[in-house]
Amino acid sequence: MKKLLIYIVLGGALLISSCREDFLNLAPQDQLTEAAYFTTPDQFKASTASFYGKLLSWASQDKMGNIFPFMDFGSDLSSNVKDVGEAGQTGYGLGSITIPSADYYWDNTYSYIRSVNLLLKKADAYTGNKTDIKQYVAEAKFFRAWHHFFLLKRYGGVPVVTTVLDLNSPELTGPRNSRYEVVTRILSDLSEAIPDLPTEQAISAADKGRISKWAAEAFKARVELYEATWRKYTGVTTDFKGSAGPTKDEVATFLADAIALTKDVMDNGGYALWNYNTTLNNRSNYFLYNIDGTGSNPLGLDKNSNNEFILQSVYDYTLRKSGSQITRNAWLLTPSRKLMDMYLCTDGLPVDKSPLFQGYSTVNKEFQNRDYRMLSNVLGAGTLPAAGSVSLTDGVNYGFGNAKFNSWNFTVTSYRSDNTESQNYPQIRLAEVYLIYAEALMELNGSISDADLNLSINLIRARAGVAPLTNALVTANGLNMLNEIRRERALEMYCENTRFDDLKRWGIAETELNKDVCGMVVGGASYPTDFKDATGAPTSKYVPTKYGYGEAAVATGKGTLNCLVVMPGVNHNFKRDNYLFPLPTAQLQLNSKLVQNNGY
Amino acid sequence: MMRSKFRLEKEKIFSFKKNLMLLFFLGITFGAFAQTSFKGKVTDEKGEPVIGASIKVKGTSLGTITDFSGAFNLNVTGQETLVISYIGYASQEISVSGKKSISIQLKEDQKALDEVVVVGYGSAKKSTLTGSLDQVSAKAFEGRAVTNPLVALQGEAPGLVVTRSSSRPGHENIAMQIRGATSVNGVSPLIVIDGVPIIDNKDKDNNSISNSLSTMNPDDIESVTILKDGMAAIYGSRAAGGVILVTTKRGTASSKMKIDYGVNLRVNTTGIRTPSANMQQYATMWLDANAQETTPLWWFAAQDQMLKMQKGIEGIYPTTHWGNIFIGQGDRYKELFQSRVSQQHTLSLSGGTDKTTYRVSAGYANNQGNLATAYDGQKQYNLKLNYDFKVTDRIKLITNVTYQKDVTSSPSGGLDWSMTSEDPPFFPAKNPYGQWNSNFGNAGNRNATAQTTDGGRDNKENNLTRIDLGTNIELLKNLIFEGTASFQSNSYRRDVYNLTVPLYTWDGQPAAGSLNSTSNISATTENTFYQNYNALIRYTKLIGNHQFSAMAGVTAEKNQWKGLSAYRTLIPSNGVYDLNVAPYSTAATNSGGQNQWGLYSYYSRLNYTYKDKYLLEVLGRSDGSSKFAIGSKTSNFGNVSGGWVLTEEDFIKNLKLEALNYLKFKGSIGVTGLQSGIGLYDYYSTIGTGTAVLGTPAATQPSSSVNGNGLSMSSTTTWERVTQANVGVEMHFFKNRLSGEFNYYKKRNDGMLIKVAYPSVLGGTAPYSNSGVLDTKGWEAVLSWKDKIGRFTYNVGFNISDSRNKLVSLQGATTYTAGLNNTIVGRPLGSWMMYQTAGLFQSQAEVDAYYAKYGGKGDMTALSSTDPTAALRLGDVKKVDLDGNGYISALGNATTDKGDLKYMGDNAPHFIFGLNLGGSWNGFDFSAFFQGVGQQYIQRSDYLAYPFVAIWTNQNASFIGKTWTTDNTGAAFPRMTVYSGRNNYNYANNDFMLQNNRYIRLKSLIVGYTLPKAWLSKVKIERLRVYFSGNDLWESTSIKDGYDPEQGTSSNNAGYPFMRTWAFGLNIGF
Repeated sequence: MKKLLIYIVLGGALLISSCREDFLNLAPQDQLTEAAYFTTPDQFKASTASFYGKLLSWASQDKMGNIFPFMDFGSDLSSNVKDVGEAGQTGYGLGSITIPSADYYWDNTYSYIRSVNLLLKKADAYTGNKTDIKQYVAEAKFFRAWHHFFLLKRYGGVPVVTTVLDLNSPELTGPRNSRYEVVTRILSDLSEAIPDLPTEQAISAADKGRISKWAAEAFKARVELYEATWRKYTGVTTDFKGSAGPTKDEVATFLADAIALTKDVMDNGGYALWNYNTTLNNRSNYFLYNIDGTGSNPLGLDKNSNNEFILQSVYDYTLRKSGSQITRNAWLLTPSRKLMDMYLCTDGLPVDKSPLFQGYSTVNKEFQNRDYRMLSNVLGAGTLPAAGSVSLTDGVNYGFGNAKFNSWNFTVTSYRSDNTESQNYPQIRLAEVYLIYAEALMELNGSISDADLNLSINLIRARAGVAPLTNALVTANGLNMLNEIRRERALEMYCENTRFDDLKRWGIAETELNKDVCGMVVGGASYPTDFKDATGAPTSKYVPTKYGYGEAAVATGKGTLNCLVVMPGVNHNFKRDNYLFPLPTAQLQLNSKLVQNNGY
Repeated sequence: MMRSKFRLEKEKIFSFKKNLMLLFFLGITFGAFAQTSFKGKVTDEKGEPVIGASIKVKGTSLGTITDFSGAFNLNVTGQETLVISYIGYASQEISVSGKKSISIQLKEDQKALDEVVVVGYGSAKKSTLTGSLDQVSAKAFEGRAVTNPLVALQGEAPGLVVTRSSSRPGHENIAMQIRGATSVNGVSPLIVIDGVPIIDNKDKDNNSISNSLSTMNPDDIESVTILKDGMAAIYGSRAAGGVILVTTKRGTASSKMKIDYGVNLRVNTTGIRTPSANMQQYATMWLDANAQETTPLWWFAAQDQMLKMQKGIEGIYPTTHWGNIFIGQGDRYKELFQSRVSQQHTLSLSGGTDKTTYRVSAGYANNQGNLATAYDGQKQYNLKLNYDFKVTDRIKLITNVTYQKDVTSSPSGGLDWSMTSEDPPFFPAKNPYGQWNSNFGNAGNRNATAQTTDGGRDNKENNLTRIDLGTNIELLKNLIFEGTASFQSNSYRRDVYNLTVPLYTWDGQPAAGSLNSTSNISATTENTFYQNYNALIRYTKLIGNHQFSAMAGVTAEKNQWKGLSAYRTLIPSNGVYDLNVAPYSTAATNSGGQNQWGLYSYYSRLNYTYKDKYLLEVLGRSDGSSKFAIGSKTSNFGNVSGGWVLTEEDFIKNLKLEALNYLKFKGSIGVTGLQSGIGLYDYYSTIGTGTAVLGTPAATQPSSSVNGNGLSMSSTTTWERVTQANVGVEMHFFKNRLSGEFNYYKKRNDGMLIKVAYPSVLGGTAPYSNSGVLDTKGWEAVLSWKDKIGRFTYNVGFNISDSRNKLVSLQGATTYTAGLNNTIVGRPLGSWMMYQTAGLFQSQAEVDAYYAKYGGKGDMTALSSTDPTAALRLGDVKKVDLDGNGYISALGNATTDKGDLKYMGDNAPHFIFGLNLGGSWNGFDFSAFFQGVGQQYIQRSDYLAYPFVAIWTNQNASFIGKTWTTDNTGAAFPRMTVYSGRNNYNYANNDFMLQNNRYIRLKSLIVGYTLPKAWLSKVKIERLRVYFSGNDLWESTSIKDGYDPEQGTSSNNAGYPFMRTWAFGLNIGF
């Protein structure tokens, strides 16, 4: 008995010890491992699919938030200086910038670059037919360029990363690359990507939204115009201490290439401006930005109708809602007096020159005979405000709201409610290609022909109901062709993540941003309005004491008139050093070779 | 004749019934011998009667207990030997042969210390123990009207800190920590029930969903042992957070069947509630805040409207943002909370014969929170069988079967901060038409009263089944083999549905917003299966005065988890809520998942004792884990401890110290491990798969990414190892009436797993590496006194502990910001780095001078003196430029020690104490248990932390009257302002915002009465006790901003009020 027991016990113990491996060698059961992945073209395709979600757009991602901080809050075009601000810095337009310890825009962008580099590394090791994956390799290169361009715009020269770094890689503790090196890398990535990308026409309906050859060309042109004008007007004034300078003058090369690329897109891309003016009461410029199912406009047009967006972030009411309060947030992007007066009259002339301009005596007057974009951006699908319908009594309202990107009938029928709006976000669209083409020609040659204008921005002006821009119009009315092209960009690209960049590359950010930001024209005894009667006393629509900064006399379409001051120029202190953002201090501490940007 | 015959029949029937009852309940067998009555009396050394002493006939299940006069009466044949015993006294055996009666004087047991305590893989005598442990007896759970054993453990043991953030059933958020922080990755104690770790059941968010201990029947617990020092190393890689060993009750051999039934009914009343403002207070705060502004801001209203609201005037208010809306009293607390009744029942049958012992128990509890609008509570069902069977003298079979079910059912929403904090407090739940009222008139989409009533339910259910099979075999003399297999299976199911609830405007029109605009339902199942195999051998040998014992074993365990979840939208509100009822649409989603981990270990322990005087213990464990790469899987842990019992030394004995009964010094040093923060497969680089939306029309297509961007754990990364040293002393004085223990310990976690901060250019977070060092030290003290005066016995117990830690090394963690910092090198985890302030501006000259010095730089950049909405003025805070660099900054550096922030303590609780008072007299018993924290620094966080964190929320009314105004320039707090940027400057992270969360709370108060045996014996009842039991009836706290001291720092999330419990109960035994 005793022996038997001992045998049983020993036998049992032996049994347990023999199966040790069954308890210790346990592999993942619900996940693939990297070692066994990246072996088929479909896996490369799936891997690139994840890159599209990393383009900043409506949906908040990776703690960075969404695209709203890159709209024009705090710029000279908006009377909202309080909300969000450029890239999350509320006081950016005022020159009030906090040096952050950590910055998601820095951290996440490098994380996205690493994802891209991982795919490229796996592509190098791919043993199948490499032509099967060349499209995905090209997409990856496009994204690497895109993210480096984001860093360039925000910080200037930054470390360029083109490999999968490990914990000992020299890049981790290396110095910043100069902006010139960054640009060179962006352009070479794009040059390598372009020939391997399919044309838009060759992309199947199911894959729409993926990068086409035209999208890469248009993006490359955007980078080239940006960099050429930056070098021309802003030059090396923002380069960090110790940065290498440009090795050669590439301004003309960049401009010429931008012209050629945009021409290719215009000629062969097959894109067209979205124009339903005749059936949408001339409000194409409103409905284009909220196409979201057939209920999003009176014509029942869906996203199929849009052939203007060259690269777009795809949303869908069922599959991918924005998750953002697009309408409410965009509504905050109220226009400034400057923007309101920038819109041309239908004869192509500015308000101070055009006989068609009706003045400000009632709040509806200034909308008459104006650019359709003014109506679209301020009123959406709505009618002109009735005289006396605007109240300046709460200290919050400075005049008008913004309707660009707002869902149609948002508040009335709740076709879309907060967070469910699902229009696509335009990353690149044809109108910008036209604007690049015209501006690059003008910058390269100092002039532009009427024919080239007709090929490009006059198409945009036609949709906006504004007479064509011609050399004759400019000469006859004492206008400046370059300024008119720039004006066209400001009006067309409003809210689309370009204004701050444009002011900076033109070298005029400090002059434009440090002026008074104004709202509604309130007039005075000599110019009665809805807000002031003929004695100069405020009417019931206006409570001056609610507005802390009072009024200022500024140049308007009807001479110098009193306007509400949203933020006086004296409170602005935007400096040349503020063209670039500070590097996050935690990164400077981790890598002593990183030099902070000037002025921080 | 007929009549008397009938009576006889009746008596027969009655007596038959009586006998049957006796047989059934008492299990008494009637002897065949002639029996005589035998009387006795039991007294103590002072001659006082001992009440309730046990008298047993040796070798049988017969017996009785003494009555109030200490007397007993028993039928005997004259051959028996009686065993007389009483807790705290030495047992005596007396033969009845030739006696008619006896008088017995029991002697206090000098070896009361010879209490046997459970340690890992075995038990030990407390008197010869060399490690540091706490033991909590079944008493802590008895008559406490507490269903959750973890809650009952709060304050009971000095080394164990139990915290909860709510008293809401099923949502207590209980956290346990033994001896302070051990790692930046956090660590919880390992819980072992009846020798086997409990099933490791975490959901995807790493929340524990297995309730092995928290929903255990408290009545099943015999004892809880808490291993605190290196002796926990017998559990190796999971022991660094300490080990909690729970032992369940078993039957007693050779005893009659005992039936115990307990019931209690509880009424919960509302305790401390969130200090959110009502309508009048809300308006008062706006008026106060704007009174200080040069540029007033009234948000939706105007001054005259706020004045109306301050007077409590209800009615239609024209507003800028929402048009004409009704504003009135919208006190959600009144609408949402009321007293609720809960109940708890326990039933157990236990006993045994020579060969078997058994205990069968059942429990049921229904715990309700105080929600008035819908059921919000947890139901518990418990069944347990512990059964031992001696096959032969050498072989014993052990069977434990447990079934535990808990069902938690709550509203699916509305109990978050939307309840009382998110919106202003002036939207009544219903409009005059009895419809749910929309907040903000037409626009709103929140109404917590409607949400909890009609917005859907969240139902969670756990079914835990556990079967332990074991055997003890005496292979040779002194050589015992023990084998166990434990199978634990938990099936978890959660059903959540959110129903669309239409909201209406005050005048009865449908509002634009509704609750849950898209109704939906989701179902999740998670099944976990855990198996544990254990085999060990024990050997004991006594050679003269040298006692040796040795134990060695092997154990293997594996945990397997499988999950499945599904989701559909548009579930209609028609009373049946299942996935099947919702239409299948493209919005439906589902997901799966499965994983497993395993451990394979060897362990051993050696003990040597010389004359119970010199004690030595060495133990070790070698753990292999599936969580590490091949080559790094195994790690070894161990502990050496020793003790010296001075009172066993002759030179002490010779002193004949009356007062000192026992004195022991002990010390230990050991290494334990922890696996916190480590995933199951971190050393694999895995692919995450999902979908991306592309195409026109949009459609999903597969997407994938490399998890962690390919930065997976290195193959050399391994366990965190904690070295712990402990020294302690145990003392007993005055015939063991006074006893005390003191322990001091130091811990060092060298090789703490951290993610070293690399430059972000790397493109991801570096994987864990063994790079950090954390030091912890602390002490614990226990003192207790027990005595009796006549028939009044009483006891007082007090325990207190503290623990402090310091982060010695954590690469890259040298910068810190204002407020709470989890990791700063050279500081404790959770350090408060606050601005030092120098009062408030009382004159414009002070303001101007401050701007001249610091304006436009650092933190002051955004507070431009020319911006009336940002500029500082009278009543605002002066912050001190501590480093004298000319500006105020929220950034500090631990290496250079530069910055304007001052270290002001850490956020861990310190001087945690428990105080027990108990007494009994003539059947009455009384106990009061206080628990508290002596020091814990907190700063309130989120939207109600201070006035106007944001203008659109409700506000914290406790600040009314405490802020600077021109009439109250000596106020403790700066002026209120409606501009949140300036409020942030004035309040956030300033020294005066730090509060000491000191509190003492009457955790339990029990008054009971046990009915005299004499009365009960007539109805064949052994014991009957009625009692009142109250939980959390009183507290005193240094918290000044109106929150409950136990709920944590968030001002938003804890709208659910703490409850006070008033329970009445009954224990009855047959």
